[in-house]
This record gives sequence, C-alpha cells and structure tokens, in this order.
Amino acid sequence: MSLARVVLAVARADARERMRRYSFLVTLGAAIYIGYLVNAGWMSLRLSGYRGVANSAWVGSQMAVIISALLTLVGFYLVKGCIARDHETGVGEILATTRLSRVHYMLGKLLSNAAVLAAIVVILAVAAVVMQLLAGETGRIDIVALLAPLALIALPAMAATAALAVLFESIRPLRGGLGNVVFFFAWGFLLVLAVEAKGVYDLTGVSLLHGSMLAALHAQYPAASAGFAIQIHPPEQAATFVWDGPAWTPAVVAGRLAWFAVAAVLALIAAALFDRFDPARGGPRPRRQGEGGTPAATAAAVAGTRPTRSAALPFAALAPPAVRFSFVALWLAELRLLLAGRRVWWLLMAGGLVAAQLAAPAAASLHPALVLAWIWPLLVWSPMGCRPLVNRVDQVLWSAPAPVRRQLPAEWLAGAAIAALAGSGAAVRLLLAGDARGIAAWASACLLIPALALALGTLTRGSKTFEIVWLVFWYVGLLQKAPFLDVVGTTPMAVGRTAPLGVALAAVSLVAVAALVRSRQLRG
Amino acid sequence: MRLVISALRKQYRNGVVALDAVDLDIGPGIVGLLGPNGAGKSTLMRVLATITRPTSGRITWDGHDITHEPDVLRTVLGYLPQDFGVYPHLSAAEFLAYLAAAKGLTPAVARRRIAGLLELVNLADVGKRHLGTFSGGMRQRVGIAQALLSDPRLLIVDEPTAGLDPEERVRFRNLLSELSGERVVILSTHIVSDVEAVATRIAILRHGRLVADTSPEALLRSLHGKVWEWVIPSAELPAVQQRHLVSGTLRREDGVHARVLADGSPAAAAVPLPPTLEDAYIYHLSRAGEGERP
Repeated sequence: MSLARVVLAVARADARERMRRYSFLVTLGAAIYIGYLVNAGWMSLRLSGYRGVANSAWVGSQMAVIISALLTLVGFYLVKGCIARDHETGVGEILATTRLSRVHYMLGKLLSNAAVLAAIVVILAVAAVVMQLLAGETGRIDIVALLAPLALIALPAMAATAALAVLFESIRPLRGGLGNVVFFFAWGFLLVLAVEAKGVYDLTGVSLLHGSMLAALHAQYPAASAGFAIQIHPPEQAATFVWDGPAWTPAVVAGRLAWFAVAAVLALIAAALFDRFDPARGGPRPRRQGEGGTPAATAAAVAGTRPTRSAALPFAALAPPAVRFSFVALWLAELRLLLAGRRVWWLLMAGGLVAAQLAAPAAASLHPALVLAWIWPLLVWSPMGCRPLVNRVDQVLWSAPAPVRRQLPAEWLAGAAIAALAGSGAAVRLLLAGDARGIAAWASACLLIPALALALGTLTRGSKTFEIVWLVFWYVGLLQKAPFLDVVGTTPMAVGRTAPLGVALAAVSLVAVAALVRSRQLRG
Repeated sequence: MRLVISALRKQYRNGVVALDAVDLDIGPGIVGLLGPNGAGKSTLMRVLATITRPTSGRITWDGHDITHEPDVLRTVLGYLPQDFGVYPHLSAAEFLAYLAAAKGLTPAVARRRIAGLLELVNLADVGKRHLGTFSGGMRQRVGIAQALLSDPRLLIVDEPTAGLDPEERVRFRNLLSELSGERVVILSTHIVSDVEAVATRIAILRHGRLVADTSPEALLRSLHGKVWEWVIPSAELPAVQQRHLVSGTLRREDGVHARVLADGSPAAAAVPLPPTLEDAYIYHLSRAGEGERP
C-alpha cells in the first residue's frame, strides 16, 4: 500500500472514532456558539477601540484571528489524546504487530487531528459568511477575501497545533498532565512571539494581519494608537475604518503555507521519538485485563513471589473483621491516594513553597508565593472525581457501602487538605497578621479548588478539563488578579476577600454537582 | 441468608435487553452461573452487586429490596468484577487498605486482615510493591483479596480465574469451596471445569434468559443416554457436525472420536458415554437456541 493510502487509513479510522463520540458533537456545538458570539458582537477584534467595516476581508480576518489566538490553545487540548487512546484500548499493540511504520502512524494521527480542527474552522467560516450577510455594511461578499485569512492564517495554525499535540504525545513526560501545563505556558509564549516576532516566525499569523490593519487605521485616524485585542464584551458601537485585507503576496502565502511543512516535520520528529507501543519503553498500560506492567518490572515482582503452596493459609484462620466505618480513616486513605507516586523532589518543592510563604518579607510578596504553591499540586488534584473510572476501580469501590455519601466528601476534603498544606505558610502569616478576611479567602479557596477538580473530574470522567480550567482560572484570577476570579484575595476587591462565604458555597455546590453525577453513574 | 431475584429485566438505553425474566432464589452454597459470551452474566453480576440498577423486577437480600436499600447488601458484599483495575502507584497493601477504609474497616483491623489475605492469595512477599509492576495474574489475586476484605456473606465473583496459572486456579477453587459453607457465593464463568469443581447449583443464561437452574447432578442426569462416542474417518467429520451436535473431538489412530449429543444413537457404531457438565452445558444451550427449555 502506498504511503498516502496508509496514512489516510490511519487518519480515517481515528477521525471516525472521534467524530462518532458525543464529545465531538459538543465541540461542534461550542464552535457554533463561538460563531454566534462573534456574529452578535460579544466577541470581536478591536484596534484601539476601532473596528473594521464588516466587509469580507475584515469578517474573515476577524474570525481567523479569533481561531488562531484561541483555538491554538483549546484545540491542542481537544485533539491531544489520540495516541493515548490507542495505548489504553490496546489497539496500539495490535498496530505495532503490523508493518505500519512510525512515520505512517504519526502522519495519520496528524491528519486526523488536523481534520477535527479543520471541521471547527469550516463551521466558523460559515459563521463568517452569515455574519457579513447579517451586518449588511457592504454590498457584496468577496469569497476570496473572506476565506483567504481562514485558509492562510487559521488552517496553518491548526495544522501546527495538531502536530504539536502528536509531538507532546510521543514524548513520555509530556503525555499526561505535565504536558498540558507545559503547553499552556508555551502557548502564552507563542502569543507574545506573535506580537513581538512578526513575519514567518509567528505561528498564529496575527502579526501579519495586525500590521496591515494598523496601516489602514492610521491612514484614516492618524492619532489612533497601536492597540490590538480580541474583546469579549457586551455588543457596543465602535468607530469604523475601512480595511481591504492584507496583500497576499507570494512570499506571504509561502510563509503561511510553510507552517504545513513545519507540521509535517513536527510529526516526523514525533515519529522518531515514538515508542511504537513498546511497554518496555514505558508507555501507559493498556486497560485490558490480564496485562502486566513493563516486562522488567513484572519480572522483578514475580521473582519476589514464593512458589505456590496450596492452601498455605486457610481462610478460616483469618479472624472475621469488625466493620465500623471511620470517616477519618477513609479521608486519610484518600489523602495517601492523592499523594501516591509523588517523588521526593516534588515534595521538596512543595515544602520550599511553604517556606517561601513563611519567609516572604512583606505581605505583598506573600501572595505570589501562595499563588505558585496552588498551581504546584495541579496534577495531584486533577485525577479527583475521575480516578476510579480511569483506573477501572469503579466497580470495586462503588460496591462498598454509601459510596457517594462517604467517598466523595472524603476525597474532597483530602484535596482541601492538600491545598491547606501547600498554602500553610500563608495561613500562618495571615493568622499572625490578624488578617481575618485574608484567612477567610484562604480557607474558602482551599475548599473551592478540590471541589472544582471533583466536579469536573466526575462530569468529564477525565482530568484534562480541570487541568485547563484551573490553569486559566489561576492565570486570570490569581496571577492577573481579575477580581471576580481572585479567590486568594490578592487585592481588596478580590472575590475571595469580598465574598468568601460565596466562594465556599460555590465549593459546596460543586461537590453537590459531583454527588449528583456520581449518583447517576451509580444507577448505570 | 437468602438472595431472591424475581422477574429481573435490564434493558440498556440503546435498546439491548441484557436480562429478561430472570428468577432465582439463592441460599448458602455456590451457584455456578454459566453462559456464552454476551449471555448477560456480567450484567447480572453488576446488578446483584448494586453497580447497575435493573429496569424492572426485584432483588431482595434477607427480605430487603437492594434496589432501594443497596447499603444493606453492600455491607455484606464481596465483589470481584470481570474487568477491574488498580491504582498503579499504590502497593497491594496500600490499595487494599484504601478499599478497606471504603468498606468500613478501621485501620488496625484492616492491617491485620490485609496481612492475612495477602498470605492467603500468595502475595505476602510482594505486598509492598507497586501494583503497576504486577502481572495480570497477580492483579487478579489482589482482586480476590479485596473481595474478601470484609468477610462477605455474599460473594460475587465474575470470571475469577481469568489470568491465573493452573496452580493458582486450583488454589482459588479450593478457597471458594472453603468459603461456601456459610455464604452465598455466585461464580460467573464460561469455564465449565471451574463450575464443575465447586458449584452446588448451576444456572445457565442465554440471551439474557435463564435456560437452566438446577443441581449439577440433575443436569448430568438430564443428559443420561444422550452422549455418544462415534469413531469416524476424518473426512466425515464436517458432515457429522452438520447433522449432529458435537461437544468434542479427539483424533486417534483409528479415526476421529466424536462426542455426539443426541436423544438417540446417531449410528449403529456409536457407543453411549457418561455425560460431563460440559456436554450438559452445550446440550442445553443448543436446545434453548431451538426454542426449547429444559
């Protein structure tokens, strides 16, 4: 079979598997909603408060910028996981026994990822056409001017995003939650690069449009500043300027198309790093029954067992245990489970962050230390709510008495204990300073973070959503100090200080949501 | 100790009926639940273990309806699912301690119990190793240990010997026999020899319906005079398999020794044989497929 046919076969099977999932429908629904937000004016591109007249070039470019800026982040998390799925289902091991090469496999996965993201771009392209018709600011639709930014700005960015997802999946340490965190910060760096680096180094292509738009704006409003932002805001009137799109010179087009080649190169690098489902190289364990860990580790474990002695210990010799439920015992067990597998360096870092909180020279430097301390356990919290399902312990655990009433609160409070321990230095400082509001904010945040993890983990049956949501929450609320998300109480207006009870109630509500979802899961 | 299942039905959202009109009244002893793949065995196990709710029907444990009072059953339940996982970063002892806490055992009691159970399933020497390093059979033994944590009155084990080596399989069968005296044990499997070794009662499911519920002896009696050995040339085997129900074949110098299940002698040369449970299982499944019920 030719290279193209093999790659297409891999891509087709993967894309079908994904597109037939309920979650894909949700994704398309979300894309349609974003299209609506843009059409209704809730999400728009602004240059120092000005917007372009809604001609084809502006409408298409606005949509392309929104896709490039936002879908490079969301899209990565959306498509990452296609190789992990082959690991988990065991399909990968079957593929590994065929003549399928790593290059074929990775290119197929890249194509599948890109197809999923392209489907979203197509929906938003349709939304852009609708938008221009609705706006009615210009007489005709110039289909080339409308679609060129989507094809040359958005699609190459999506291709590179798709490739980054397969690259992250092929590098063992970046496969899981750590990769999600790393990409979040890498994406932030990419956006900075988009503004600073210009030209071909700008994956998002935003700088290309920005320069051209700015030139048109200054020609009509010489006093306008150079601001450029995607505004998420209730619809409002704005002064307009006419912009007919960038000059799509051969060099510009080639520069954008080069990102498709970059995507292919990234996939080839991924192929070189890919373990080809060899468990000896440390891939995740398949979810099927009867599979062991890595061969070497299993051999070591088996070597530790003694020869079988039939009926060495009769069951009757075991004293029947007294059953008396202890919430504290279960809470401690959940706490141990959360911390299981953490390395010494991880604990040392957590301890170092507590020490930094204690040693912070002033209140102003206390919060940065606390903010860092509450992103450090991200991967400890993220399996909450979904761990029994992910590890297939659900049937065993849920056949124990009162699984919702006992296990969920114990898990939540174990997560809260992690938050409290990680932020204990700040708590001591706040207590010593007699900062009652600060302590209230701290305590309510300790309850909210694990509640969010529990609710999202239970709802989505996975850890990825919490990892993304908490990263964004943490970045916008704690690091950028947006008052409505600042549960730590960094500023006097922060929600943590003004309404700590509300934050705590939100936490309880999230746990209630988790309990409802878990009850439904239990009912099958 | 009595588990009573009445008119049980489970229909999934996609319309598939996994269980239909299942009635069973189970007291102490071992019930071997047999059936081909997709017969509804695992669904029945999950419903009995309070994991899945039935669509209709009633299940009572000592008079308590377990659909409405699941905790009454859960406090006395030990359950080994067919497909279960472990937390790979926990050791066997830590994993069992976690489940012991969920089941309501205090830490001190759990520690003693876990040490004994690890000894019982022959994992005492590796109890402190991470489960991520365990083989499939070793994980299965951890599963067996967790099912016994709270000294269950009702033990439900779904394909428990999958992945066990022959010695461990024998060991587990012996353990089940030892447990059965004062407990209700439900053993679901498609391995007839497992049931043959320990079950005091046999139920056969097919397409979600109970096609047999009787003692092993009665099941064997029902096949008396219906099992035949017929030595035929190899070339004739396909034709014989077309005409008769063949439960096994053995190639020998004189030809193929076909084990034929038939109400009357299939040929003059056929000689009667004592039936085995495997013969009975295949015979009843086949009859049920023809729309008959024993």
